[in-house]
Amino acid sequence: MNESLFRLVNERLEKRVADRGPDAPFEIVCECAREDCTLRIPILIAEYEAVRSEATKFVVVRGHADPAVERVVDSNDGYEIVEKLGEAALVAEVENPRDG
Amino acid sequence: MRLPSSRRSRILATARNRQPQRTDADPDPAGLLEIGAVARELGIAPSTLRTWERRYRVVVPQRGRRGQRLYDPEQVATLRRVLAQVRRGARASAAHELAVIPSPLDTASVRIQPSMQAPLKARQTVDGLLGELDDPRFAFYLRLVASELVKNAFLHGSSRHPIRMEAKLFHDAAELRVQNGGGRLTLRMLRRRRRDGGRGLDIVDALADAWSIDTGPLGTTITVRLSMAHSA
Repeated sequence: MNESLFRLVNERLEKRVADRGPDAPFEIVCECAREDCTLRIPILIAEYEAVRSEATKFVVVRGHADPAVERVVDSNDGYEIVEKLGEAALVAEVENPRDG
Repeated sequence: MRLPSSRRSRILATARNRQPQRTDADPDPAGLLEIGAVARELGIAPSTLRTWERRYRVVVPQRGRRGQRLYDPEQVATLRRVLAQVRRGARASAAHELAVIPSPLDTASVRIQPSMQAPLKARQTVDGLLGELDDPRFAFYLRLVASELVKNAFLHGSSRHPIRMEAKLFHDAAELRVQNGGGRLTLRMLRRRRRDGGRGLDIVDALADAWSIDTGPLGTTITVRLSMAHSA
């Protein structure tokens, strides 16, 4: 699942700035399903951590959510937070890099 | 003391035989460089190259008709890696060990026209190189890095020159080299491009084991190495 792979990339991007504190901004890659989408999303470390605290949630550029496998649970000017549904949720949990 | 003319002629003839010939007048079609040219390119003394060759036997150039040392591009690249390690503070012996790269299992080399389709072509090239390799995460990272490098080359390089991408697959790693025409990159330009959207280098930095930029008046080359272990 590309979303999980982009999540791994974003974990590495966050690691590079982790020592800057929760209010520091950084940029992640859109965690949508399209492999050719590498649009960037400015986000605070604290906001990113809030999403990562739940394995089934991902950050995508507005309009990149796929209603077939996820629903939008929050949004702001820059991005939307989506929650995976059904089998996609199961895969997201299995591939959660923070699990164990 | 004046030597007899016959002996003086012999000595002069011997000296002429030992005298290196001018390489400018004798360009080598295989792209081989003599020791002076390599030393100038690397910014070190020819004697350092001879000492390294004698001590470490890692870069042993072939010899030309006149016995002169001739370095091929791969050997120059190895020396460049050695020198980079030495300048970071490594001992020369360790730098030589680190600089040795085994022969690739496979290589793909393409010229890509600068266009919106260029990143897709880069990903397809990586797919072709990896074939049946069963490591989806490594494959994803490699495609992503290739795509970002080529996108940057398209966005910021010359639109008149094709982008060249070379990808090498080793048994536990891959190396990508993306080259574009255009002017020299400066740190200031890199920072400005980061603001304007040319931001693939942070992804490269996050995913790669090592990467380097070689930039000059004719263009920019970025070389990236990703290992499968680092991707895991």
